[in-house]
Amino acid sequence: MVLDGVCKLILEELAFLFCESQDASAFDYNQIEDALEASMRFTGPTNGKFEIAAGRNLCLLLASNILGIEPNDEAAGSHAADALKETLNIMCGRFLTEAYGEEAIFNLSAPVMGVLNDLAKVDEDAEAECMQFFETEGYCLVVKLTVYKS
Amino acid sequence: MAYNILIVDDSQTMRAVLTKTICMAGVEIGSVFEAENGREALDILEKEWVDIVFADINMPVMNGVEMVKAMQKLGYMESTPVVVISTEGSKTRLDALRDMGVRGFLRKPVSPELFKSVVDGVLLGNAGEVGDSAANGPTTDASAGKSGGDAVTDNGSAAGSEADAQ
Repeated sequence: MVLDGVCKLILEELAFLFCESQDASAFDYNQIEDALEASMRFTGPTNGKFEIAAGRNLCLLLASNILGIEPNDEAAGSHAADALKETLNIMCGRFLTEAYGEEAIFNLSAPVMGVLNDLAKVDEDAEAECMQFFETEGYCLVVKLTVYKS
Repeated sequence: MAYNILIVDDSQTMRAVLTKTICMAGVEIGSVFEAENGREALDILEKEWVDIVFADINMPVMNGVEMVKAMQKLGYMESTPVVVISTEGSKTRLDALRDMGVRGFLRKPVSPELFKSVVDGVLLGNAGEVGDSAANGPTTDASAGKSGGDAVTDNGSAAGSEADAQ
């Protein structure tokens, strides 16, 4: 629930996008077939990884809303991937504070763009995994949190 | 007075947003310098006069904490106020940065209102009141040790309470 709430809050505060949660069992992965994917790792009291995947059109919308420009503006295209990475970065930072408190110190890696793999695939090194599915403005977005065995 | 500003963030999007936010906050701008990491920021500080630095923490090559340490060592912290704008939520880490001389904290995403409050506090010693924003509140140096404050400044003027920002 914390992850779900944090993701919605950040998308709203950062990009003025209001999201609805989607049922994981009903999620159609074809909706993010052309998705851009970004990931980052965190180490601290718990180690893990955050991933985010969103279709290119949603990334353009993210970038344009963050920058206050039109989605078809050339600048939105050049900022699309970076906007996705920064969205992930802010979600990760906010989630870790919400989940582990203000005394915990985490070191975060810089977010990197990657190739969208099978998000539903279970990581053998994972102690726990959580995926959240969202819909906003007709587009889908997936956030995945993996916590590794210590 | 026009201020020379240095924005240190590995995200080009956030640098662009911050530049826009600075303009919207009504800060009179001389020059805006941009750096992708702490190392680049130190190079700029060596060559240019900068009135205020806005820095992220989580960056490749040299992160914000390392940059502040280097600035402290090089004697920049006395003359050049640093405001950290980050996703960082650890009070422990923010307190350490405050002890190193960081003058203000803002947590991403930053609203122009909160930004203006902290910048006014740092540059003019005139922190304005800000609303309740425990999850997004800015703090400046004088809020150290308080709880529940959103915007406070180095000179002791406080606007808000919780030291929650970054």
